[in-house]
Amino acid sequence: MRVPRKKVHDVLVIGSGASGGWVAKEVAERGLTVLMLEAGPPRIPTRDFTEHVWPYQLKFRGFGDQRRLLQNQPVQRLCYACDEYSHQFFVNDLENPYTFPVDKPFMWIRGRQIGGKTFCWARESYRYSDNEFKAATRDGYGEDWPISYKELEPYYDHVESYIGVSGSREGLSQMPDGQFLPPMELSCGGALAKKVIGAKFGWRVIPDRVANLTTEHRGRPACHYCDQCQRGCYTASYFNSPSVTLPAAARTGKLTLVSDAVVSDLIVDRTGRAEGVHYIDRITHEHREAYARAVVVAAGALESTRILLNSRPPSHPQGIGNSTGVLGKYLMDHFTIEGGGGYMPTLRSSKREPVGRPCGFLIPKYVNAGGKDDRNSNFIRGYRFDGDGSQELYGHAFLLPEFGNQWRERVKKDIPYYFAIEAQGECLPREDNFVRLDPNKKDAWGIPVLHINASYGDNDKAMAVAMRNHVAAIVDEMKLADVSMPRNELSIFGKNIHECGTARMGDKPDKSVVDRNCKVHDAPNVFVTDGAVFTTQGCYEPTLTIMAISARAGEHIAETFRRGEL
Amino acid sequence: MAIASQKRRTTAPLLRNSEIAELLALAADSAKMPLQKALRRASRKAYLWPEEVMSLLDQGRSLLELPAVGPHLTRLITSWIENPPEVPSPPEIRRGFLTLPEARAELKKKPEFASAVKGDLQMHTQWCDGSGTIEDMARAAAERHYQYIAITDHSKGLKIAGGIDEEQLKRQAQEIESVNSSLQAEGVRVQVLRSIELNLTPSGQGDMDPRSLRDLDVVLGCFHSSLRKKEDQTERYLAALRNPDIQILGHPRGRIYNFRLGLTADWERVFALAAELDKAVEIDGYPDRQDLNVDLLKLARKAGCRISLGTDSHDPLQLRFIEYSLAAASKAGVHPDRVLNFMTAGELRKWVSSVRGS
Repeated sequence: MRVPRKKVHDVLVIGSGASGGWVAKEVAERGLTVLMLEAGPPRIPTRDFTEHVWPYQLKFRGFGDQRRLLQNQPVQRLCYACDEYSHQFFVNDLENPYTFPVDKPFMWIRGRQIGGKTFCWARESYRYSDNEFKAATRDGYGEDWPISYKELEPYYDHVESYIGVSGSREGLSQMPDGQFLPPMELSCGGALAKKVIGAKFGWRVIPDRVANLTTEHRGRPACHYCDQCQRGCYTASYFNSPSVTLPAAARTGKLTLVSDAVVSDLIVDRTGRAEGVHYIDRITHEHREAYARAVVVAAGALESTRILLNSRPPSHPQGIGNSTGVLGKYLMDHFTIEGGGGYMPTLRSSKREPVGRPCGFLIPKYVNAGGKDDRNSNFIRGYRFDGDGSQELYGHAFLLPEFGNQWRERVKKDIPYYFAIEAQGECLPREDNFVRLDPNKKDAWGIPVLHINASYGDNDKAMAVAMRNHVAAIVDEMKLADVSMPRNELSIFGKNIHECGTARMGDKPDKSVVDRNCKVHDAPNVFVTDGAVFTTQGCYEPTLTIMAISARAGEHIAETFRRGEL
Repeated sequence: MAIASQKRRTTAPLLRNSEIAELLALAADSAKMPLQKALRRASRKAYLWPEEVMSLLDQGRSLLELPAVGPHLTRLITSWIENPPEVPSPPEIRRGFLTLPEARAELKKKPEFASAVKGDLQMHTQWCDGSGTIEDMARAAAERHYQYIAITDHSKGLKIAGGIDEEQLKRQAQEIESVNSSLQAEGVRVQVLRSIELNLTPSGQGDMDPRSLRDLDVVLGCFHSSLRKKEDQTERYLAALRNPDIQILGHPRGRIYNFRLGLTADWERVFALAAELDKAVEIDGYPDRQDLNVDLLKLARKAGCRISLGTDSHDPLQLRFIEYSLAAASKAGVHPDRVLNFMTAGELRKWVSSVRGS
């Protein structure tokens, strides 16, 4: 009998989001064959995008089918972006459960589809500096990243110039400038905040650096300012992997993309080398296998760690990458202090400021960022602010009493101007913030689910106090009307969807899971390239750094192949 | 007018809200429709007024603030205040109800009592005749810092209240699970418990398949029929308490302010059996019901039976009715360790399983 030869690809990439897309593009463009497995289905713009849809076109007028959301997405619906327009970009919680201790709530927001969470991300793209990469050297807590800003800088350049990031050059040492398209402008409220905050605190208020195009870029048209990014973008004017990196990989002819492939675990030979993966068809629940010379796990920080933990061949009984017990530990997620804001009386007008800018303003990290004035010794690390001033399309009508023509006139003539600001702080990596497999619970495909045990620590809480005081001081200084003060509580762990760590990067195998090239220490051909490898998180959004690391890892993998080592 | 009443300012109001309620009810008896309806409604709502009318007038505030009071009733009530008539003792159908200021004054004396409440054990949702969703009720409970609530929608026999059947009860379980997982992920520390207000026949039997009740965290049993019987109903209560499916006997008497007297029984025997079986009797805090009332609660206290507090809320805002339940328990001297709502959810479950086991 003839046994059919199994097809072996060069590189197998698990996940098609920000990270997987970049790895696939980089290795395919260097001539390697790539098999990409994605747990979710493809999204078809004409069917799944709801851009430019008015509330009256929807069955529930934009308020959402609360009963169905509650039934299928009891956790996902807590995310600000998961509504009647965009719930399709989020997982079904019944199929994808997870557990956590009752006193440590965790909101795990996920997107499973070709493109992962890049459909609904907030597109904020900031570089980390050695403030983040070498934080441990500066304040003595935890571990440094094995790589420095200098080493990652070319990849930041590469990623930014490819995906298109709009931003202003500021020359700040704590947040390096990049290869920017022209910035989006501050709104009137933002401009006023810039003046007031600059004068009072000496801080720079800058437009968000966002992966939205302000000019045509590599064949993609500029943003048309509809401000509905989380519903999908017909013109692909913001970065998502199905519009940018995946087509680039596909153009090489080397990419095979399989959707609806839920990866359960890695197949490992007797020597501890990965041969491929074992996956389950999302729809038919058939079990299948796929083979490759190198495996890249880029399923999103916690999903990647889950796959590694669930891969327990005799050579790695605790899971691949877990020989020293570090896998799953040092989970981080930014915490925010929200709720500060109020109306800007001087900007109330009868003519609306043009709306639709898909960004607000940012105040970079100043506290404990090296400057003398903003040192705070109650905690280590620091925070940054973001906010916006804007006029609503018609939302203020809900708050106006009266009725009839008089009311209609007021809605038209008297448009309030709202200002909101929040602070986002760096969460310290702690060993006792960890994930492990839940021994009792399985997902819809029979794969063990994660038990997530994470809470904010003393340093985080001390920082939150300072964050709140600063937000309150800014709100105060802005002389707002109908002020709402920032909340005291830290946001729930996971809510900011910046979960990072659990397979962190380091030179020492006893303190980390992957090396400087994202290769798992204890397996010769397994790589992790997403947020799981973050050693520290800084206070900035992680996605740009994830992409830079992925591009760098992709290049490294291709080089290793070229040298014949894989 | 405000000045006139300030002159007469005294520490004890000349006319308490309960007395005004009685005067309104009496006035209704001799009034014609539609005034009669307005007077009856105001008489009922007087028990919900948050402040004594006298103190409102002392502060120069308008009576229009009060629910069910319009310009006509403002004039009427003001005339009574200025010239207080003799207020007869109320008939049985209006006797033994606490007004909100009375309840609050009682709770002020025992702040530790009010702060011990960890949950509410009777409320209704859109699944039957309530106006809120399960989530609405849970979020309202979170604002009150509760640890749990029991959703006690009516069972299928009570058609007039949109009672739910076994199949709906099963589907409701899914919604409760979703709400619980949603709230948990968000860090809201309220647990929604599964329960039902089981409709009991006059012979004490439930109207649901007992198997459908086994998964519930707690079961409340209530009479809704033959509530105007004049004869002694002791046997009915004893049968209900012996019904193995229920742990709490809800709004035992079935009385409603100025509408229905409620049933009578040899209460000492009823409470003695409840104590023996370790089952609970309820203080329904709905202002029109206040059932059990303080007098009967004193007997219950002597018998040593467990007490459950339920607001019978049909709307998230009505969770505040817990004050009436609490005040009645406090006034009757109920010992805190007898009150189910002072237990944690875990202790409550343990109690239910011990009652079920016996």
